Amino acid sequence: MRLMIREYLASLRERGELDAILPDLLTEMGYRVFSRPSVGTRQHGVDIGAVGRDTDGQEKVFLFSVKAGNLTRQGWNVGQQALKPSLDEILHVYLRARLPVEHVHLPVVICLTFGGGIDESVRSDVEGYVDFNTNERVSFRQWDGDHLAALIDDGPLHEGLMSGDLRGHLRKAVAMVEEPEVAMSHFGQLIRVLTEQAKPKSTDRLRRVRQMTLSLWIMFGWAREAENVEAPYRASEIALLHAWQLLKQELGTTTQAGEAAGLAFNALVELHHAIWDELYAKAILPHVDTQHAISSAIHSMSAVDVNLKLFDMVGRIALRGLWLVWMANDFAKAPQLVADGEDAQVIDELALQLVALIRNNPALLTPIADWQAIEIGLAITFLACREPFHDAIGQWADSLSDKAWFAYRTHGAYPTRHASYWYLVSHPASSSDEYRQEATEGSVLYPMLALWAEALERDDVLDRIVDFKTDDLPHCNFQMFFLDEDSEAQLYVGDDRHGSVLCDVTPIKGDARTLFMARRECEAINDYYRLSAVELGHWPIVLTACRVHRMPVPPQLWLDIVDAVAKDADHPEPTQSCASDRPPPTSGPIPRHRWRPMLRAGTSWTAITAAMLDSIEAPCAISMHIALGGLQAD
Amino acid sequence: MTLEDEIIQALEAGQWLDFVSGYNLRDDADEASMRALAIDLHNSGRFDLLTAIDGFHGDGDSFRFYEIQQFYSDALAQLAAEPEAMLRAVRRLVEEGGPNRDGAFIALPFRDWCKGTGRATAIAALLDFSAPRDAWYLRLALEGASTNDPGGALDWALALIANKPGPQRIAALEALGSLGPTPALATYAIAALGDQLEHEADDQILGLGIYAAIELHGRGEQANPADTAKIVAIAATRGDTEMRRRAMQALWFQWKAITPAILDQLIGIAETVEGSDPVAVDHLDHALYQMTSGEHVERAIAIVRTVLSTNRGTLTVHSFDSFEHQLLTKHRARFDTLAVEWFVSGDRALGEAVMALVCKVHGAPMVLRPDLTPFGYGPAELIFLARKAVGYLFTTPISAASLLMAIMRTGVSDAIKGATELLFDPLLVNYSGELGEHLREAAKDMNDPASPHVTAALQQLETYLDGLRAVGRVKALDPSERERMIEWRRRQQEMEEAMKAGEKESIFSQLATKVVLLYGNRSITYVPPFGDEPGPERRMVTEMQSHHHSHEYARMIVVDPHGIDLTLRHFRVERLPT
Repeated sequence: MRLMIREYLASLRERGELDAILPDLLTEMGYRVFSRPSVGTRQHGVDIGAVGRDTDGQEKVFLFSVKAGNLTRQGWNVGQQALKPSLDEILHVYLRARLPVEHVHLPVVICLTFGGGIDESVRSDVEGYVDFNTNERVSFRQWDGDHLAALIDDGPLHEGLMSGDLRGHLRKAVAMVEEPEVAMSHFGQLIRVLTEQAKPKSTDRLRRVRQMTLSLWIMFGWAREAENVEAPYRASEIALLHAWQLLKQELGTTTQAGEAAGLAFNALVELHHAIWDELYAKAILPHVDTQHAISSAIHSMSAVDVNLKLFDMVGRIALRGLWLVWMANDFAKAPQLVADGEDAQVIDELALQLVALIRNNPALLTPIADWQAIEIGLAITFLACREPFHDAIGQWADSLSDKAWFAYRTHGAYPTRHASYWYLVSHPASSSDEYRQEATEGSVLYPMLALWAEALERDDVLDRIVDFKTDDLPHCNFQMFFLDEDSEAQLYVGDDRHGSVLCDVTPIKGDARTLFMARRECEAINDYYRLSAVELGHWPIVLTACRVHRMPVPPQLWLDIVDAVAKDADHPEPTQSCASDRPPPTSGPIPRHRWRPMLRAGTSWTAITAAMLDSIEAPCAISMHIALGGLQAD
Repeated sequence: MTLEDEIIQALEAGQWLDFVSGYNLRDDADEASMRALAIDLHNSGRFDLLTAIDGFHGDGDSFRFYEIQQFYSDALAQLAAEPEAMLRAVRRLVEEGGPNRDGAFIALPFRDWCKGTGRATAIAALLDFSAPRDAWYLRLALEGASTNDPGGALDWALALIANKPGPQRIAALEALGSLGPTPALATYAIAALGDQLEHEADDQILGLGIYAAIELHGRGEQANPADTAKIVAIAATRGDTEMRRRAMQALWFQWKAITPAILDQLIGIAETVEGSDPVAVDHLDHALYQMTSGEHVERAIAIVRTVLSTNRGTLTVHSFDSFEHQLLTKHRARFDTLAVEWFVSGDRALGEAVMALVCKVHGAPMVLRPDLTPFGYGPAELIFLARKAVGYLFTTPISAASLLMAIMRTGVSDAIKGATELLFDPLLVNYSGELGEHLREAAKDMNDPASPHVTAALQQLETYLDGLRAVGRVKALDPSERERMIEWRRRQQEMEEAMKAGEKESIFSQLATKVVLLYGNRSITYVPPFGDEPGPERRMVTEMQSHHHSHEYARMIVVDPHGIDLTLRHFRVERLPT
């Protein structure tokens, strides 16, 4: 175990990685962390500052200067990022002027922290430096990979805190990181047991979330070395949901426990986004403008594999975008239109890449399973938050409905209600009408497209869906999923057995009937606003749960945007009244003090930077065209 | 013992048929002498070779049956016999021949026997037309009688046609085409037949009538073209399936001998052949084969074009396998231009026919090099042709590309641009391997006006492939082990089913015995000596040979199956703007 942790530590990078796990580690060891790593502010050589009791029993200030990997001659004293200049800054600046006044009377231990070992070539230089600068007040300590591994192994992952079985699951998850399904079965077990065995005390739940985060970090470190971060990505989504379940009571409170919970949850969100960056920002998004590039990168001879992977990718990218929207939305209870500005630029970059992905990988115009409406719904939600992309939604809905109808009529790979891979690889297994009817007995995809066609006034798309339903799908139950009174208990760590389904959704030509039905049901079901993730303004957690547990995006998340679209376009409200006796639900921002502790969640600078790598001018979005342009009839 | 003694001994012992069936296995066998001796013994009255047939029971022994059949085929016409005895013997031989071993072998000897004076009428008087084959004996009797008395036989047949409805009329009509051996008699027969068919509406009678009329007309040096034409017109108007079958049979046999006008009439009927009628299609295919063997290629092509157009869904060009073989071997250059004509017609049946013909050629891919200059097509037609070529020949990309290159050679700039774009996408984008290699070679021919455009398309391909390669390996996008196993298993099942289906249809499965080797690279078997040959078993070693076939998968089948399906469908169904 210790060797595994040691190797993981050696693979970590300084910024956002090694220095990200140290505060939690120190907290677990009983230290009080007073300074954490930050971006954009001068730290004068100190990455982390903490106060704690040393091995001699005396309370001391510990100042950590963190470097990744092995300490080499270059890492010691070449350039501004080297360790020696950082130590000089601590001695000459930080200790003189920046040390919090309440700690100035305490002895100081400067910890030279690095994930690997120290090179022999530089050891004497380091020892000489330490000897020269050690005095009565200031001493030095070397926290190398071995020392940190021992601290972790004896600390948060200690047998007493994490059973042998769970440590075994972590080891197996790491060992099988190149087989994501196997790795996930072990990591999922680890996460589930950590959650199930949590005690009511907030400190215990907090510790378990930190254990999840640390375990995820270890897995991510190894996965990154193996160049396959699929398992940690999936693990991070599960971990997020379990962490929410464990911490939701404390999150949003202004107590010390609330703040600690916010920081722990934030660390996990950061890690989730770091993993996303590793996979999407670095490997995928730079190539979305190249025709078929991403489709061809999926190593399979099966069109179904390509289709499934691409839609999965769309869902993940859209969800990342929705975290950005969430940041820009001032933590409203549902996604809102984002106005032009600095936030919008970052969102637009990612939205442009998403649209380019769809445009250049045409399998994304032909879902094979109706449940891919989940990914389509996430993407539409994301794109809908920016007005310049509404045309792209319309185009996409146009192509999706057109091609689905064509596929249906030609007995091609039309969306089936079945979800198993066994079924999908053979679909359509028959050209009989009986098979086709059975495969299309229910749909959430078409009503969703109809709703957005109504919202965006794409009458052509709406008419097509209505005709499709009338001519070919009279047997199909058009339906919509709503989160309901039993959803809070199941949404994050349960299964998909909760919520309500509105049946017989009936789009009508020239009318906003689908919208009316959705709105009427949203008014009837107020429980959405009582979901903890919504109450605390963390609706991306709801969407993450939808993605992970394979549930459609509930229309409750769309109504604010739909209203804004109607208002912007000076559209009349749907003609049919849906008045009810209940008070209208509140979807406005939550009080600021409720979310302050979680402010940092979602600020993944790497992602934002990467999203801007392949810059395309935003105005392009306005005339976006994702249909198959080359196939027009003569 | 002399051969004659042996024959007599066998006849006396009631072992005549055993003697006949074993005679040719003897080293000293002289079948002609044996037959002559036996005929003499029969005709001298000493023995009765026909009565011996009563004991003919093959018991499934094919060799015995065919030996006896051979003897009587050669001897029957020379045997003196009463009509009753002859008819009984012939019936027995036909019966023994049965449905599995065609009893019709005896038809010609029996017909020849009927040449004898009075024999034919005597036989006719003995027939029972409620029996299934007796009408057939009447037909043979009529044909036999015609040898020595053609006029009388003809009158007899015409009388039967006029006065004896049912089996006798049908037998006479079947015989009629073989009667009337002179132009004068043929003229007379056709005229009489025309009168008989004036008000006929029965499909079978009309079929037999048209066949007889064409036979008489053709063999009688284009006798009585007016009445023949009238009969063909009546049959064409009122006849149905049987008429078309007979008409196609007549076309097959007599297309060279009939007048052009009557040939046109028959071609008119040919163009109404239904794809669901394999007999008529088969007869027509034989006729087309003969036409394409001579100078009537264009007529044959015109017939096929019409028939395919009107029978899409029930008929493919493979239904005319003899025709297509001739077209692709003897008229290969004509096929290149034909592909162009049929594609530009926009007719889906013809497009599918070109596709089927190109796919039929195995081995090296078919390269089409039609000269498009004589067609005088403008940019619209050429681009239309290019899209048809891609739409129909997508799975044979080298053939499709060769047509695009032909368009590039026309010098019509808009068409060249369109063809180059299509050469890149969808052809090269989908088949960057084999097609890419082929085009790189083709582009080296600097004298070819298509070369620079092919080079441009290849450059586009390189840019495209560079874009694909730039992504590199993203392991996270790999399907899971479980998914890979499921997909592998599914493909395996598909291949096993395809192999089983292939084995069922393979000629090798009928010729060879399947032996499964679990290990090793060669098989060893011991073969016993043949027949009574003495000696030890022979050791046979058979080396195993590997056989493989590779096929480049179109990239879009995986990346965008729906899109490529839609594109190709679109290319196939679109019409030339008017």
